[in-house]
Amino acid sequence: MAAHVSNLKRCFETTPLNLIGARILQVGAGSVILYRILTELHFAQFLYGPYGASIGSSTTFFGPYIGAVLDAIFYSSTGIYLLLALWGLGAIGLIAGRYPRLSALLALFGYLLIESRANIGDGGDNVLRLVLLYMVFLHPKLATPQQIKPGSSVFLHNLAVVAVYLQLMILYFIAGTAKLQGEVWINGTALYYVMHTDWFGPGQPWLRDLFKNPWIVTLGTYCAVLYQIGFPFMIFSRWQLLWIAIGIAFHLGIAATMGLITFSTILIAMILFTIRDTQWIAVRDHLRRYIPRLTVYIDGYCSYCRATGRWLEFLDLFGSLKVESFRHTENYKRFGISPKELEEEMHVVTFRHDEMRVYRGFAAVQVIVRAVPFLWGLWPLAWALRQAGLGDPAYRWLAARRLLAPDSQHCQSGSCAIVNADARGGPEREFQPPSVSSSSKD
Amino acid sequence: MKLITGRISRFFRYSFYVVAVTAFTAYFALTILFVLPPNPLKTLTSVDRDIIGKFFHQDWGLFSPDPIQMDISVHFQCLGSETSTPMLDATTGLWEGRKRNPFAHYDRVGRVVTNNAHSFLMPARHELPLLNFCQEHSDHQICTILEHQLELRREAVVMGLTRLASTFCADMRGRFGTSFDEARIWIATADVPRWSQRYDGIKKPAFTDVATVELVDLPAHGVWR
Repeated sequence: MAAHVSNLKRCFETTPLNLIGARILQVGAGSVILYRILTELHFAQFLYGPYGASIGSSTTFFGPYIGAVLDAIFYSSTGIYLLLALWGLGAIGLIAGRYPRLSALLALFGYLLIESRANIGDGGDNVLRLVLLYMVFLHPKLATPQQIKPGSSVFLHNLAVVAVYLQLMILYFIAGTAKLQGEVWINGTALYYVMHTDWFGPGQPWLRDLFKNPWIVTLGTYCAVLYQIGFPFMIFSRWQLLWIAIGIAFHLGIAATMGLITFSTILIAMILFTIRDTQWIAVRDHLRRYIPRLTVYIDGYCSYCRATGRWLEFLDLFGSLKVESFRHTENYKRFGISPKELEEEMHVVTFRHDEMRVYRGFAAVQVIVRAVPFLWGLWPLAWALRQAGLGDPAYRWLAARRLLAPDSQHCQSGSCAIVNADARGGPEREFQPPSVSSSSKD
Repeated sequence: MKLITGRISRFFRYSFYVVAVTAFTAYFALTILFVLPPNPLKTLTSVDRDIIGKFFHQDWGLFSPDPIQMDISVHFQCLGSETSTPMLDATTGLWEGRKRNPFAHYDRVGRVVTNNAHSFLMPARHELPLLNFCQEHSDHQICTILEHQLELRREAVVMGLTRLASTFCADMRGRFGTSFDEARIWIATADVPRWSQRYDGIKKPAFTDVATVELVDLPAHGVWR
């Protein structure tokens, strides 16, 4: 028994669970809050202001003294905007993965004040407020998991992960079993009634009429109950991924038909959270068969090229992209690329089904845009530039003006030249490498 | 020395883990107790309501036990010394706006109106068992307390509706060119036709006269402009 506890403790403080899921949850929570701020900002005074419709006070949560001070600060005409700004700051921090614990605290603080003030929340807001509390204990280095070291931070992270699992299981199980006490859930007509109210019914008449069909209404009603009751059991079974896929479809349906956007978003994020890291990696490996692997050769002497490379790696959802500096490796030689070509323009080497292709210049940019889902929004712009014949000239113009600063390892005799990449001219001045160089020599 | 420091640090780390796991277990035990329906265990303690109910409140009804089966709308008539408006629907337009554009403000703004009306008409989920009990044992002492609680909640809702009426009538000032001193408030409910009448049934609204209230001095926010 003692050995089991010891093993569990060791495992709990060395192996952080659900790192990818936790990151998805952070992005989901931050997005929901940002969405709320953006849609409510115009009517913030009506919703929360001292001359608006709501009269709630934070004293119910924070007590009479602290609550009164918070009321005076944040429920004033300008204080409302300060509150939304702090709340938004928390949301942006969660999305970007910067100061995540502080960001979760800010987001939680915002939620407590917003909820205390106005009775306009739904189940999604309720669960998000609770989950934000658990997210305060998630590991602060989720965005850079390679830097995570075993210890009490990992232990707390794992407790928070278990808390999110438990909360989600409680939510679904209670929601499901409570429905068993309802007449219309039992007789299979619940969805018909909900879909024909002004509040939750869809706008399209044909969609409302669809819920007059006995098959659709009965199956939909029973499936909703079965899904919720079954969730705590299926989430640890071999049918987990199927249950997750059904759950995502279920909540997308709720968003599309009932208009509960934030409720659906946060629950989808929580469902995705339950996918373990090993499963994400398996899914990624599976997807990789259909997605080409890319090696991007950038100029490691150019600071904004390096920054761009770091951003690309950060945005690379499928892990299909590898960024390398041709100044620091000679791997490119096996693809028949010369250093001179690389100095002139960025190269991308793609591998798919054992087929290798080399793209250069603006064509390489297009390949990257296509491979990174977060950049898909730029695809029409890239296509238009290509069609207009502006892509390559614009790329060459930018590439020629990049500023080069060789790093200390490549400088000789203690000083290096900062040069403009355009060989025809540009500033050139002596650059003293940082003191790191001497230590590296030592 | 290093050994002693290591042991002390390990002791503190272990103690921290024990405290964390204990707090975690207690929190979720109380949460489960709080979200469960009424049962004998819940009658033994109120700790779950005192801690979870106050600081970590959660309600996972989510359309249960029965989902909403009616349209609820709030209507105002702004009353002035010179002129009065007709009875105006403050709800339906917001929901129609949401159907046109679910990504706009209509959802949350509409909830201010509808949640107030819902709280006025419907008992909370946790009150349902007690209400059922009181239908059969109306003389019981607990039913007097429950009735008092419901009355207090209705009073709070009327205060909320008064502020809504005030901003609504401030918006109407622009349209009718005159200011108003009072407002009459109705809540209308229209049941969705029963399943058996789904093709030919129609919604018939029934109005509840809530109150005639003196308006508070609030600005027009342009919600109903």
